[in-house]
Formats: sequence, C-alpha cells, structure tokens
Amino acid sequence: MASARRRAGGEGFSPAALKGLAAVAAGFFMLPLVGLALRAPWPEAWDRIREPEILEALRLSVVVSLAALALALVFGSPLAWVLANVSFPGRRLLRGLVLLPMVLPPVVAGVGLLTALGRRGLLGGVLTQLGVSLPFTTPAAAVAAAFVGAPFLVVTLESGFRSVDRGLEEAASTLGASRWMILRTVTLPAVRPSLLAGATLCWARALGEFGATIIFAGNLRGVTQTGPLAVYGELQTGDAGGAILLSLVLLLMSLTVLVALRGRVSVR
Amino acid sequence: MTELAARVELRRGDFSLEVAFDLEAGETVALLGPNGAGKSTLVQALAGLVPIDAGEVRAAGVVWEQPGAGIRLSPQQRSVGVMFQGLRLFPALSALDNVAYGLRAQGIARDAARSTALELLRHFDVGELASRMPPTLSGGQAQRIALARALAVEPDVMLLDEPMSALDVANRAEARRILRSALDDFAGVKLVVTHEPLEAMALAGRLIIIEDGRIVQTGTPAEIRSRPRSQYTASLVGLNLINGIIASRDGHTVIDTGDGKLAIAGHGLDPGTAVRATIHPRAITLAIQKERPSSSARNVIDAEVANIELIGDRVRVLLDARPPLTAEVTLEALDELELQRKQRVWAIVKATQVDVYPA
Repeated sequence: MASARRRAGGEGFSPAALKGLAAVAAGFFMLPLVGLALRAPWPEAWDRIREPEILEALRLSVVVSLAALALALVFGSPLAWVLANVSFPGRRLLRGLVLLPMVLPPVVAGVGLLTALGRRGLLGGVLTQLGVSLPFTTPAAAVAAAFVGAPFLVVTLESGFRSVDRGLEEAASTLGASRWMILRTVTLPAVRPSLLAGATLCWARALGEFGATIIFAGNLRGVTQTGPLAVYGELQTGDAGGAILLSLVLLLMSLTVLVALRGRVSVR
Repeated sequence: MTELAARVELRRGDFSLEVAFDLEAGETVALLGPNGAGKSTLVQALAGLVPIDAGEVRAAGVVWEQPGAGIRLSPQQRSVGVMFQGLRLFPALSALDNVAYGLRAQGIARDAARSTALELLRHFDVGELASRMPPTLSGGQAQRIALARALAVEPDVMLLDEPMSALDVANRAEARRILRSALDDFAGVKLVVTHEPLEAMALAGRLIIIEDGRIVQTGTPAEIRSRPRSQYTASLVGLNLINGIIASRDGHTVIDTGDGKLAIAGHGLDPGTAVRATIHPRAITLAIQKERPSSSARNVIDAEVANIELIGDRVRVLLDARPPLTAEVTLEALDELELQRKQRVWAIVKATQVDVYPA
C-alpha cells in the first residue's frame, strides 16, 4: 500500500523535476562536443586532418589501443575468470588492485610503470639484461594504455562469469563435456555480452589514454605520440585549430564504437 | 540383476541424507518426497555433481564413487543421463545441437552427431523443431528436447528430476504419455524424482519415499496406497493413518494411539502389539447433534472442526479429535450440516472400517 502511494505521488511530482535534472546532465555531457564543433576551423578541416603529423597520431592511436585491448583480452580475461570462479586468500585484495587503475591519476600510473619497468626499475633491470628496453617505445604506449584500460574489461567480464548459470555447466558435464568444451560451448556464449561490453570500454579508455603514456612512453612523434598526446602537442605550439580537429576525430571514433557496441549490449 | 546400487551418506550444514537402495535395469522407480526431503541432492550426488561423504555408488558393475577407497568418478566419467528440473537446455544452441551435444562430447563428428540427434527428435515427433532455439519452445516441446538430449548418449542410468515441472496442467497428460513411452523403451536404470504422488504412480512400478533425507517406505503403488507407513505417505494417498498399540477396552479390541483409542474389528491380535491402521476419510460420518448419537458404530468421537478444504467436488473436514482425523463429505452434506470451523461435531467410524496392519 505504502509503496503504491509513493509511486502514485511520484507520478504527480517527480518526472518533470527528474527530466529537468536529466536534461541538465545531458547538456553537460554534450557541451564539450558542441564547443569543439563550434570552434573547429571547418573550411580548412579536410586539409588539416590529412597533415602527416595528425594522420600519424591517429594511426598510432588505433595501433596502440588495439594492442592494449589484445593484451587485456589475453591476460585480463583469464584473470576475470579466476576472480569469478576460484576462491583463494587475498582475492578481495587482488580485485581491489585490479580496480585501482580506474581511480588512480594516470600520471601516477605512469610513474609506477616507469619505476617497475623503466631501465633501472624493478623488472626493467632484468629486461635490460635481456636486451629489451620498454620505456619510450610503441609497446610501452600499449602497456600504459592496457594498464588503465584492462580493469574495465576485467570488472565487466568478472561479473559476466559470475552470472553464468552453473546449472548449464553441470548439465554439460553430465553429457560428458570436458572443461574446455564447457568453457567454449556454454560459458563463453553466456559471457559474450559482458565480453563485448568490457572490451569496448577497455578499448575506448585505451584510446583516450594520456597521462600514463606521456610519463612511461614519452611524447615521441611517430613512436609514442598517440592522438591525445598530439592534441596536447598542438595546443603547446599554439595551434588550437589542429587540436580541436584532432579532438573531434578522437571523440567521434569513441562515440561511434560506444554507441554501436556498448549501446546495443546494455539493452539486451 | 542389480544395475544401480547406491548407499549415499552426505551432510550439508544441518541437513543429512542417508539412503540406500538397489535399482534394476529396465524398471522405473520413482523417488517421492516432499520439498526439502533431499531428492534433488540425491540426484546431484548420483550424477557426480556433489561428492558423497560415505557409502558407495555402483552402476552396471562400475564403482562410480566410494569415498572409503578414494574413488570418485567425475560426471563426465559416469554413464548417466540427467533430465534436470527446469530442463537446463543450452539457450545459445539450437534444439538439434542441444540433443547432439552429448554425442559431440564423445568425439563424434558434427554431421554424424546431428543426424543421430535428428532421428531422436523425429522419434519424439519434434523433428520440425530442430532449428529452434530453446527460449522459443513451449514447456512441452522443451521437455521432449531435454529428454532426447539425456537419452542421446545411451546412458546406463537415467535420472529425471521433476520431469513434469516445466508443464502447465493442460499439457500434463500428453507429456506423461510421452515420458512413459520413452521410459518403457529405455532398457537401463530409470529413477524419476517427483513430489507428486500421481506422477510417481503413473510412471513407476516401484516407489521409494523419502522424508528428511531418510527412506520411510518402498513398495509398489498398490502397497503404498493400502499400507502407508508415515503420515506423509498417508496424506499422499489421502488416508488417515493411525499408529498405536493393541489394547482391550470393555471386551473389545482397540488401538491405543497415546492420543485416544479406536475400536477395531476383532483381529486376534495380542495386546501390546504395535500396529498401524488406515481409515478412509469417506468412512467417517459426521453428526452435529448435542447429545452423543446412539450408533451401532463402535467409534463415536467428540471432535471440533479445525478446517474445511474444498478439493474439486469433495470436501475434506479436518477434525481436532483424539486421535486427529480427516473426514470427507459431499458438498450437499456440507450444506446440510452447515459445517463451519470451530464447530463441535461427532465423528462416527465403524470398527470394520479401520484397516489394521502390523507396524
């Protein structure tokens, strides 16, 4: 009764106010896009975008973000499965550590990566002896992007694994299916939506990565200067027009993928 | 020949399951019990989905599990087909691939597995559903797919956990007929788990009744119907069950239940013998007059109406009496007597209507 009354009262009052507040929020999210669009040097847009510096940055962005996604899929998906299915001491701590990059200032992540994998870093020394030097290379940019992007995949996929119907896996085992067959035919199809959503978020976050990249990989044109770094570079040289155009391109790339994949997935 | 020998002991928190039974190939046995009796746990234990703490499970000469000897086959290693409660069809696979799944798991090539699966679907008159996805199937269709899936691997043991639960009442008769004929065709061990006595008696030639993780009675449907050994079983078959000891009162033989006495027809039973007795609810007559009615029946019991239940066109009157009884009257009688709760009545039972058997 009480809840019915509350609901009825709500219909009289809240929706208009809610819609108003929602409109403010929507405007807030749209404003930067509109601002960029209004300030963009449209007449010279086509020529500017084809400048080698911008094209190179975009190409690097695509390569680095996809490489980061690949790293996240190869190592992050098993981690998500373990977090969801294996009980061990320290699991909660590990889950917290995995989430950390989502809230950490990316610059701090970059410093952390440098102290761990830098030339004189924790693992960096070992790598140097093996003849591998990671910092200030394209792989370093991918590692930095994976560090901040992978948590989105792991978190989303873990909850996907958690919600898999154990009953179906049991049914498969009574039919004689091996663990691999169960994973392939029952578990993975069931987590496909989570996998897609997590991968999309991970990739989009990697595409926008700036702070960790500039610290750990540097801002080397053609090597580690991805889109966001190039935007920063253009602004520093006083070329606001180039920065705005490049920003718009990055924005549209992310938006297209998020709407196409994430939008469809979450409606399921 | 015994094909499935099970002695299962397992404990889960406060609940303990301790049952032992042998099943023969070809016979259909129903495991009947109320919710929470441990039926589904037993199915999971037999299928290898939960470990047993002690005992042994042996099927077709193979030891499936024996904790004492450290033996425990995985579900994959047991020749078992399970039709789960809720069916558990794979939602991302077509009906055909659901049925072909077990064959694929055995390493049979896709085309061969599919053609065998299609034959099986046709056998169950659902060949046209081959390409359908499980979420689009009706309860009855899904039931047949699940049945075909479990049978496809030709297991030694078939376990069916509440096989009719996915169906609405209208489709039950048809589904029961299909299930019955599928079970008749299957030569292995068949265990049907259910909480519905009608279903158990329609499908099985032998019943095992469990309550609180223990077997309380086994027997044919006819034996269970005429000789229930627990209140649960008696209520399943709609009888009053009386437990007591033979005694003598005024030269008549009675059963002393500890909560009232019931006169029975002379049985030549020695006083002190523990017995059970059943009374059919229709054998109990109700009278509402103030004074004790003079009746030739030897049992005239002072009672209070505790509850009145309508079951179809019959009326069950639960009586607070010594001993407690349930009577069955017609709707006309209900109107005529103007029965209501809390009303005082006389319950009249002829001694010859009390069916006595050894406890």
